[in-house]
Amino acid sequence: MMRRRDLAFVATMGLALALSAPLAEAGAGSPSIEIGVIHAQHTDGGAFIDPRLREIGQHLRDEPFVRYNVYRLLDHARLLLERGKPVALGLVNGRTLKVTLVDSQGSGAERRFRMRAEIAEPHQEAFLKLLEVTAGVDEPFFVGGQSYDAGTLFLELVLRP
Amino acid sequence: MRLSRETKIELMAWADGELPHEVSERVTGLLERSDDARQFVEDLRASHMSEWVSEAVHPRLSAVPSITDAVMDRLETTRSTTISTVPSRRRRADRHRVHSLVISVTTGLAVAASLALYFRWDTSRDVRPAPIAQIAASGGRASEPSATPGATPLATASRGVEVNDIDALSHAISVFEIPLGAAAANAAKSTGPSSVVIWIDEDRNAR
Repeated sequence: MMRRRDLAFVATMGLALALSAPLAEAGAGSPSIEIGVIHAQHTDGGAFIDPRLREIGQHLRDEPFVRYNVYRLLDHARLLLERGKPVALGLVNGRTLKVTLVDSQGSGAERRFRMRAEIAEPHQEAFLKLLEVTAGVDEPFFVGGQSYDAGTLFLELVLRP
Repeated sequence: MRLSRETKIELMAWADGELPHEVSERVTGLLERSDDARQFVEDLRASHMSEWVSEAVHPRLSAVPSITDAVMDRLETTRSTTISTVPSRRRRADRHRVHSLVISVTTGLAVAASLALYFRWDTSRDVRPAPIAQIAASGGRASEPSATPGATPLATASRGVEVNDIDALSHAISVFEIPLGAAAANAAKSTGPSSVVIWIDEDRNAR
C-alpha cells in the first residue's frame, strides 16, 4: 500500500517537473520589453519632468532631450518577447510600434539580445521601417521625433529579464 | 609835582600790597602829602593801570605768559597739526583700504565672471549637440553590412546599446549617443557603456 503511494507521489512530482521545465526555460530565455511613451514639449511656463521618468531625468543636458523642458509619461506597457514573434503597442498618434526579438548571445548578466522595431502607420508606408539594435537587459534606448500635440514623442524601450 | 619812575613803581607795589612794612609806611606818608601820588594810585585802580605798568616795568614777566602762550600755541599748533595729521593718515589708510577693497571686489568679480564663463562653456560642452550619425532622408537607411551580432554597428559602446540597422524610408535619421545608467552621472567624462537616441524627423524628405 505504502509502495503505491510512493509511486504515485514520485509520478506526480515527475509530471510536475516535466511540465514546468519548458516554462522555466522559456522564462529564463525570453525577456520582456518595457515601453514608455513620453510626450516632450518646450514651454516657457517652467520645466516639469514626470517623476516616473528617471532615465530621462539623467539626460536633460544631452541632445536631443535638451530641446524640451516638459516630459510626461503618456503610456507604459511591458510585453513578453518571444523569439521571432512581434509584439505590438498602439501609440497615441495612431501609429503602431512592433518589436521582435531576433536572437540572443551570451548568458547570465552578459546576455545580449538583438531585436527589431518598426513603427507602422495605417494606410501609409511605415514611419520607421526598420530599427535593429543589440542591447542587454536594463539598457534603455530611445526613439524620438514623432510630432504630437505641440511637441514630440519619445519611445523608451528597455529589455527586462 | 611830577612822580618819578621809582615812586610810581613803589606806588604800584603799594597798591598791590607787595611792599615791606617800612617802605609801605613811607609810601603811605607820601600819599598823605602828595595829591599826584593819590591821583596816580586812583588812576591805577580806576583804569587797571597796574597791568599796563606791570607790563611796562616788568617786560620779562609779561613775556613769560607770552612765551607760555607761544609754547602753548605751538603745542596747540603741533597738536592740531598732529590731530590733523592723524585723520590725514587715517584718510590715507581708509583710502588705501577702500582702494584695496575695490581691487578685491573687481578681482572677485573678474574671477566670478571667468568661472561663470568657464562653467557656461563647460555646461554647453556637456550638451552633445551633434549626433554621432546622420542619415539624410533620401534613402533613409543606415545599416551595417551584416546584421550578425558582433559586427561593427552604427553606434557601439562597451556593452551598451548597439545600433545595427535603421531604415526610415524618406525620413531623415539622427543617432545621438547618451551615457547609460550610472555613467550618466558623470556625463561627458564617462567612457562607460552608452545608449542611443534614434531621432527620426517627422517631415518626409527632411534633411
